[in-house]
This record gives sequence, structure tokens and C-alpha cells, in this order.
Amino acid sequence: MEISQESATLPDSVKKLRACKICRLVKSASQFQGQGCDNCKIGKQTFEFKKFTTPKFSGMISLMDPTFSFAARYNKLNLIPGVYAIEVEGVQEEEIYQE
Amino acid sequence: MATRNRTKKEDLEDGFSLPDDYDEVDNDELFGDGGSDFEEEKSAPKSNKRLKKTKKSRIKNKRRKVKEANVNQFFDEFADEDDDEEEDDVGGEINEEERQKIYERYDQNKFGQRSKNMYAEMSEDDLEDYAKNLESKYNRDVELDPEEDDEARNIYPTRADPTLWLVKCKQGCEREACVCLMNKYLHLKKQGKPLSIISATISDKVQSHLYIEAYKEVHVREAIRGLNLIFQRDCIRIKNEETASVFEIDKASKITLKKGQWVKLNSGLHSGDYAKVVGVDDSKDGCYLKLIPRIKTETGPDPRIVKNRKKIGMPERAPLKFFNKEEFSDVVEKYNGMFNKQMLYWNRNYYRKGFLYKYFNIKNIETDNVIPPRAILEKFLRPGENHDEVDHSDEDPEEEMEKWKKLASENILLTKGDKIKVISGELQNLTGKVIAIEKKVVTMKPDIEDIPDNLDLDISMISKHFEEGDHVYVVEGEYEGEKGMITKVKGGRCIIFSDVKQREFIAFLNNCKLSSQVAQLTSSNIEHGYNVFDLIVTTKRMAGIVLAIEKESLKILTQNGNVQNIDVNDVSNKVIQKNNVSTLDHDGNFVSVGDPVRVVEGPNKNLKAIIRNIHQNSIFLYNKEFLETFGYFVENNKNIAMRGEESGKRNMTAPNNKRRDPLIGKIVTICKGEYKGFEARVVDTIERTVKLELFFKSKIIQLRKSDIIEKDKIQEDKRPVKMEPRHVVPKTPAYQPNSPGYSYNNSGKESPNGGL
Repeated sequence: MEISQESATLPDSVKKLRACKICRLVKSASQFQGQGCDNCKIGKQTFEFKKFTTPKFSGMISLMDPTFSFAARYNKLNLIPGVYAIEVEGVQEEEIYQE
Repeated sequence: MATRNRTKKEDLEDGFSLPDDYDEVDNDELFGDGGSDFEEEKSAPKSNKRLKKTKKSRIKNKRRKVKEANVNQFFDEFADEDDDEEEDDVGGEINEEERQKIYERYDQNKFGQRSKNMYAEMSEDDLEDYAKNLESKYNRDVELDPEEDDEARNIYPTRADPTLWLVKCKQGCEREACVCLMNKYLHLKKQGKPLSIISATISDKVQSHLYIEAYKEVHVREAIRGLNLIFQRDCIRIKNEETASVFEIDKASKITLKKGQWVKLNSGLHSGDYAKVVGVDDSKDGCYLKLIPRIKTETGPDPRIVKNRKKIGMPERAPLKFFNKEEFSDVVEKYNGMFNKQMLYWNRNYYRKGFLYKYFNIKNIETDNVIPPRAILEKFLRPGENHDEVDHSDEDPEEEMEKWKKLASENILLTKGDKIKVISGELQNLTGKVIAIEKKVVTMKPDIEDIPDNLDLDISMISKHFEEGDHVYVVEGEYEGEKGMITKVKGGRCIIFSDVKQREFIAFLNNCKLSSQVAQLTSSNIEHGYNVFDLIVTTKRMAGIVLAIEKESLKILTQNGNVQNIDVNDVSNKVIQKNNVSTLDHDGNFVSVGDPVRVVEGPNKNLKAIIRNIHQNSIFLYNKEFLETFGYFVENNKNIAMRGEESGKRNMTAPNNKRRDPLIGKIVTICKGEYKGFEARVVDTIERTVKLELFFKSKIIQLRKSDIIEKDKIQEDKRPVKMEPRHVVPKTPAYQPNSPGYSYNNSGKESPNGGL
């Protein structure tokens, strides 16, 4: 059974990467523009990538198997496999998950 | 039980938490001497017995405190379990039931539920609002669920978790390598042969390295095989305690750029210039700055003239000057989308109201605590008459000035020991000394004895304080780098009389600093690199010793004995005096640097001095009586005479210092010290000391020349002493001694005809 085993789209380039402010998924700017965010099911049309994503992020985790990963647990990334940022500009992670 | 590729140890751990000191017990057990600590064996958990099995293959090293992690490498268990090829395949091996259970567990977890479903279920509008208010929510007092917090932070990976492996990759390609691994994982998974690694992390702190999470090193090796971005050689295991630090971001390294902030450029044409941030783009690489342009004009300085000696080859750059539309022919008015304004476009740059608006990369900007000097601030606020715009720059000048003042007052450079004065509040006008400074609070000891304790004050309430007669050094502002004495203090400023330039100027008290020595400090700010008491030669072939230094000028004592101020540009070069430079003195003896001499002619007759520098025929001497020039004075070499005899044994052959001392190789007797009475051979002489090789012991010692006596001389002493040297025999004129065998020069010990 492949429950949520599809992964998020991976970034297609190394330049102009952006991270979603809410779920910290990393993709290239054009990908966010075209597809929105895989985790946060905001309507693609209304997903203003400039508002919800930021290029200011530090560290990157390629999450292949979130269920067993200590990295995922430590960084609170219990999401579908994909590339995530460790820390995103400004917003503290605790805040996001408390809401 | 899952049949996953786990070690035997991990089997033990289902529902079994090991005590914290498990490591210590374990290692002592494995590596200690057999037979000791029986108690420990008994008290250790059951699992210890299993591990003991493999003890025979272990290296017995009692002292090595190998942590559990490293010990794993030696466990045969790993090797045993590894036979099966299929075990690489984590995904396929895991029992489906087990997996389902895990997923359910995560779904039920408050955590996972929140992150996954919450956002999907919020309506689009709600989500937008939420995202918009993220910044304000940041400030709210959010109650953290303590359980969740503890769970996530401050924990280490347990034995059940995979370990982190450090792998080296190509510098600058960390992100690419990370995504590459992800791609490989997904690709192979589609084919049905997924990689066994769990995740790959890159940290901004650690460059050119990747952290791969896996249970076994072989998984890591398999994963990185074939990727040319990752170096196949090293695969270092990270200890459990250190894994958490991999994910930590250095908060201090975040550079914030705000609109209206002052910054300083540190490279390029505008290096050292102050600029204001006018636009921060979303991308983190840089920002738009507003600065005063430097444009090369036709009538500008010739770039070929080298101004600063240190930067030879670099042409002098154009001065700061506001952009004037009239001066250039191809200026175009263009609309700039970034600023939503009409701007002047010339030579690929945008200008407005005289200022240059340009995008700069954050690497070239210094953002910390940058406060422009007052002069620059004024230039920014009142751009000057020559530009065509009538109205002032976009900011309100009054407001800007206030902001700047506040910034400046908060950033006074204070150090321990500075004198300060309270300028506001109840304790106004109280003076004191700085004891400690911590962020924005200053601890000061008041001058008045009635107040026994030290006071803590906010930095905005104090300002530096100096008294008339204090010698200070200006650290900032228009007169930066100058030293002088305070002649009057009024308000926040003071009048300083400069030592070197012999002029008065006004400076802010907060820009001054007590200088402990009068004009003798060598400032690190000064670029030219000349130090006090250096011997320099000017472009006019005149030599002199530097007495005082300033940014642009030097006070020197010339070879003619005059004290002069010269510009730094006039200095041709510094002379590095070699030790063996010598010259003839009045009597025809050689004197060199460091020799004590006496002046025999001229106005300074009979003064004793030491030679400090020699330049051609001028000798720079030192005698502490010459206060104005710090002891230095100049004499012609004919006016001085050597004082050699007074100071004891000297090497008379001054020009040939390096020639072998005739003592070398001679056998001498030591007459002073612990080796008195022993003989030795002279191996080397260094000025007034000699290195001796003792005969009775294979040892080389160093003694003064006065402590040894040449063997021949001793011989002479033992014999009856005659004052006159033997060869001068008083003889009656015309008397020819005729006794046979009487020879003049023999020492008496020889028989008359012997020794032929």
C-alpha cells in the first residue's frame, strides 16, 4: 500500500530556490508559480508565490523516508518526501505548528 | 517483530530504554582487563552478556573510552547480518502491516495531523489571512505545549534511529548534490530498487559536506556511488550527541536589511563609502542602495598618479560628486519600476536628484552598526546647489537628523577607564569612570566620594568627558587621526590644539579618546605604514627620523638637525638599518649603530650619546636630554668620538664584525663560575661572550670573555713578571752583546741552542 508515498515535486534547478513559509517545502520559483505548494493545498491560482514563499532559507533536507527519519522528527517535517528547508526566514517554526 | 535490517541490539530495545550510563558500563566491560569489576558485570543489563560474546575479537585497550557508536564498527553482528543482498531493500522488506501501523501512529499524532491536514482544510481566504499575519503572530505570546516541545528539541537519536554520515562533496555544489540524491532515490524507487538511505541534509554552516541519514555505511556508499558531485572516499559517522547540532542554524549570522538603514560598502569603486538602503528585494542576495556617485570627469585627477604607496598600481578614484545632468550628453529619462519613479539613466546606472541608485550584493555591504559621520549625513540631506531639483531629497531632513543623533549617541565607543559624564536625568553633570560596559548599560564609578556604589546607566544618558589639558586622540569625524591637547570644553564639543600640525580645531567629545602617550602612538588606522623613530628618506634626498605621525603628514628630525613637517607623499622610502653599517668618527675609528660615543666638537660638545642611525655622514644620536625631539639629535660623523674604552671589552675591528675572532679554536682556562679551573676550547664568540667546549665533559657552555683566560697568558703570569716586554731590552748604545747564544726573543725556558 502506498499511502502518501508520492513525493512532492523536486526542485528542477539549483538557482532561484524558494521555500514555502508554511511547510518549508523547497522548489524553484517557477515551480511554485505553476504548481503551488504540494503540502499546503492552497488553490494554485491564489497561491501567490511571492507571499507564501521566500528565497531566504537556510539548510536543506532531502527527505526520502519521513517515517523513519530522525532529521524529519527533529525538524518537525512529518510531510511527504521532498526537499525541505531547515529554517525559513523570519517565521519561527513553533508558531506555524501551534496554530 | 519486523524483519527489517536491524542489529541484534536493537531487538532488545523494543520497549526497553537503556540507562544513560550504558555507554560507560559497556566500554569498561569490553575493553577492561579481564577479571576486574565483577560487580559491574552483574549489574549491567542483560544485553551485556550478548556483547561479551564477541569480546575475543576485540583489541584490549583499557584506556580508550570508545563511545558506543564507534564500537559498532567492530561488532561481528553487523557483518553477519549483512549477507543477504535483499536486505538493502528496506521498503520491500518491511512488513506491510508494520508500515500501516506506523502511518496510523503518525496520523494520530497531533503533530502530523496539524501539519498535513490543517492547511488542506483551511479555506483559501483563511489561509491567505493566516499567511499575511504570520509576522504579527510572531510577537504573540504563544503557549507551547510542553510535551511536544520536549519531544522535538534537545533529543538525540536513539538506537532505533538511523545514524548520520558525513560525506564530502564538491564545494559550492551542496544543494545540487542534495537534490541529486533525492532524484536518484525516487528514480530507483520507481524501478523497484529503492535506496536505503533515509534523508540527506546540507547545513549552511558546513560547506562542501552532506549529512546522509542511514542505518549502515554500505547504504550510504551505495547511494553516493556514481555521483560525481560527491567524493566517494570519506564517509564519517556522526556521534549521536552531535547530530542535533547539525540542524542548528546560527541566528546571529542573519543579516537584516531594512529600508532606511545605513550601510557601508567594502569593495569596488565605492569601497568605504556610506550608503542608505532604499529598497529591499525579496531575494536575499542584496538590496538597492542610494549613494553619492563617483564619476570620472574630464577634468578629474589623472588616474595614473599613484596616491597611496600601498596600493601601487591602483589609480586614484574619482571624488564624491553629485550627478549633474548637464555635464553629460547622453542622459536619458527613464522609468524605473523598482522605485516607481522617473529617473535619469546614464551609463547603465540610474540617478535621481544627484544620487546614484544601484543594486548591491550583500557580500559587498557592511551592515553592522554603521553610523555615517555627520559630514556625510549632511551631504545626503542637503545635496547641494548644483543639481537641478529644487526640492530636497525624499526624506525629511529634520527627522533624519534626529534619527542619526539617536543612533550616534547609542554607539559611543567606550572602553574601560574612559571618563564619562551624565547628561540627562537626576544625576546630570556627574562625572565618573567607566568600570564595565554591557550592551547598552554602562557601569560607572562616580568621582564624588559621597556615592559609594557604582552606578548603572543607560548609554544614551552619558557622554564622554574630558578636562582641559587632557591629551586626546580623535577617533572619528572630520579630524580623525589627529592628536592634541584640549584647550577648552564647551557643551558636547571641545577645542583641541594639535601637536603635529600646530593648529586648533573643534571636535565632538564623543569622538575623542584619551591618548596615553604624547604623540608617540602608532595608530593602526594610519595607512602609510611609517612608524615613529623610523629612518626615512625624502624625495629631496634628505634623511630624517620620524618623530610624530599623522594621517597625511610626518614630523621629522632632518639630517641637518631641523624639525620639519613633511607630507607623506614626499617620503621616498624607509631605510632599514643594517647592523653592520659603520662610519668613521673623529679619530678615524669605526663606529656603528648602538655604539656609545661622545661629541667632541660643536654646540653639543662633551655630551655622551648612543648612535641610533647612520645615514651617509649624518649620525642620529640619542641622549635623553633632548626633550623636544624625544632624545634624538644629529651630528656630523667628524664631531663624535668613540667611547669604546670606557665600556670594557669591545671588538675593535668594527667593520669586520663577522670575521673570525682569533680566540676561536684556542684553549682557555675558565677562571670564574662553577667551572672554574677547567680547561675548554673556544668554539664560537658572540660579541662579548664565548661558547666553550669543556674538556672534561661533553658540554658546551657560554661565558663572558672576562670569565676565561687564554692559556698562554696564564703561563706568563706564573713566571717572574717583568714589566717591560722582553724584546725591549735597555741597552747601552753601541753595545753589542756578544755572549754566545744570547738571543733576545727566547723565553728563558729554552736551552740556548735548542729549539732549532
